[in-house]
Amino acid sequence: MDDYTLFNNAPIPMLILDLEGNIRQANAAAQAFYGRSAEALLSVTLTALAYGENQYLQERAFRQVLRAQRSWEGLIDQLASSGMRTVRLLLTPMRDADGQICNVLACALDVHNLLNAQRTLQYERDRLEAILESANDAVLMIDADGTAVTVNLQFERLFNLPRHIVLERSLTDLVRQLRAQPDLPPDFMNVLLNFSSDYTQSASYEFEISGTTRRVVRWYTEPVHTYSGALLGRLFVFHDATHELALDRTKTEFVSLVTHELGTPLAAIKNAVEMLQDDPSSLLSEDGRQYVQIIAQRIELLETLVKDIIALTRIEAGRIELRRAYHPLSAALDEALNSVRGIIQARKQQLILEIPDDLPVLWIDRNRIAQVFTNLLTNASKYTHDGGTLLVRAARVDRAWDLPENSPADVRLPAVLVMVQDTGIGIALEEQVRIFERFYRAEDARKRRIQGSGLGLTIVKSFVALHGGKVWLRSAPLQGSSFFFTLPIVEGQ
Amino acid sequence: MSYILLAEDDRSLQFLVQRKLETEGYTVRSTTDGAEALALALSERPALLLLDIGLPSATGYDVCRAVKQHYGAESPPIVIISTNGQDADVEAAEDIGADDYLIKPFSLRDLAERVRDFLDGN
Repeated sequence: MDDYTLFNNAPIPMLILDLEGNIRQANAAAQAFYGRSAEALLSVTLTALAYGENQYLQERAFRQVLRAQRSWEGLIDQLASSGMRTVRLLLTPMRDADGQICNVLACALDVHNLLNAQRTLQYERDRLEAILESANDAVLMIDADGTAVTVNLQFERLFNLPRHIVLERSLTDLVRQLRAQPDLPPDFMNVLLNFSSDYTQSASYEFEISGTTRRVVRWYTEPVHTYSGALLGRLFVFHDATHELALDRTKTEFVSLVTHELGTPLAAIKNAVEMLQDDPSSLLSEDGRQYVQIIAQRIELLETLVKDIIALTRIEAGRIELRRAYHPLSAALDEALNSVRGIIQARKQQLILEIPDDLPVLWIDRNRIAQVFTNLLTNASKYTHDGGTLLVRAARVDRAWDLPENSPADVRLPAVLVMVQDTGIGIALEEQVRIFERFYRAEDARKRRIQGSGLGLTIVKSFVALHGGKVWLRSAPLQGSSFFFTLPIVEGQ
Repeated sequence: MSYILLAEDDRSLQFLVQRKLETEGYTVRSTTDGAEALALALSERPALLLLDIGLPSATGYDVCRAVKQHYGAESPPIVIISTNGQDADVEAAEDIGADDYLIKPFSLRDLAERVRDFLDGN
């Protein structure tokens, strides 16, 4: 077979061009591809076959072949019989007997469908990757040889492991390196190791990551197969369950609060009422007077608890709105004293009030500030022995150096500073940071069986904060506690 | 005369239970402390014990367990009082030999009836 027959019968469209780019020969495949007869093709240049702006690109490629005397290969959109098609165009210089370039051979391989398929595939891959990256769970996939092939963003975040450390490494190799990271729990390595060569079992459990914040991670792992049943590898999914577990704990704490803190006062009320019912004449005796007092006190306690629960629910839902007006501080204090004076008197405690007459009026929600006083005074009384002393003192503070020692740095001034002081059991230093947390109760308070919901100070803190104020304390075991809070003086409202 | 030992750290409730039992004609001795309750129970053998679970220095469970071990079959009846009404808590009380279990808030009439069943049945 001579060169010409080869050229003419080649299944790939081929053209022979002169040095000006004019088409001199076109094979059968070229005639079919471009949808033009040999004569028609011989009357045009290669440039005329390119589509739109590709003409310029193709022209440049042709000149480059002549100038550099080297082949050129690239993707060009051309006008074919079926419309615009992308071809892989190969331009090769042809030399005469003297080695001079006399012609250029152009081969156009139609890659249009191939490229489309590749684009679809790429799009599909991007889509899956985007889904994987935006998943809330950390994902690690190993192939059937135990090499890590996929991790997502959440995996990098949860374990603080950049993917370049993880990918393309065998799990055993990876674990060896990870052992050097002190924050990663051994349980995590064990999960990886146990299943690095096992492609049959599914498993799930949880482990903890310590470090700056403690996280509980629930994980599961499963072998992955294609639809046809071929083994692809193993998938590990790690779910950060810290928040869910905290919610569970809150629920449990709430149930325990309701059973204990509601049950005990209710028991006393119920029993006192029974005593009065069974012997109505006792109402006039000393015993009867005590029954009524117990009922009154316990109802007060329940009322406070119900108010606290409602307040906390609103705070957590972010639905607290202050109903502010100008009030003297004493208005809120008096309202609180109406409900706590009974408790203080029952324990024969002395209450000292040092409220100057010339305090400025405050732009406050009176009921909320009354609840702040109620909660602080109830605590002061509860944690102080019978016959102890409680002190409420208020003063105007204009400059930071007039604040007591160890006050927070960011107190808004000018403000009215209030101190509620007791001579009670005090709070250990290490517990003082947690005392404002919801449901938190000091160890000593629990041991002494002093009732409390662990809500009071949480509410105090948020109500004071809503007014732009700060709350803090000074205390030591067996030396009493002083709670301070500020209410900024808002001028010109 | 033999008495009922009441260990309850809520003073109001203690006062009410004591008064109720006294109006029923029983002698009652009250304490708010677990260790004190245990000492009294081991030295004087009360006719019946009413024990709150949450007591300072020793829980009602501790007292119950020790008293039952000390007296064996001759042990006075013990009634546990608690706010924990879950099955597991009742079972825990039964496991250590408690004879009865009252959940707060309970009725004094009900309490008096149970005490009567224990003491007057003998």
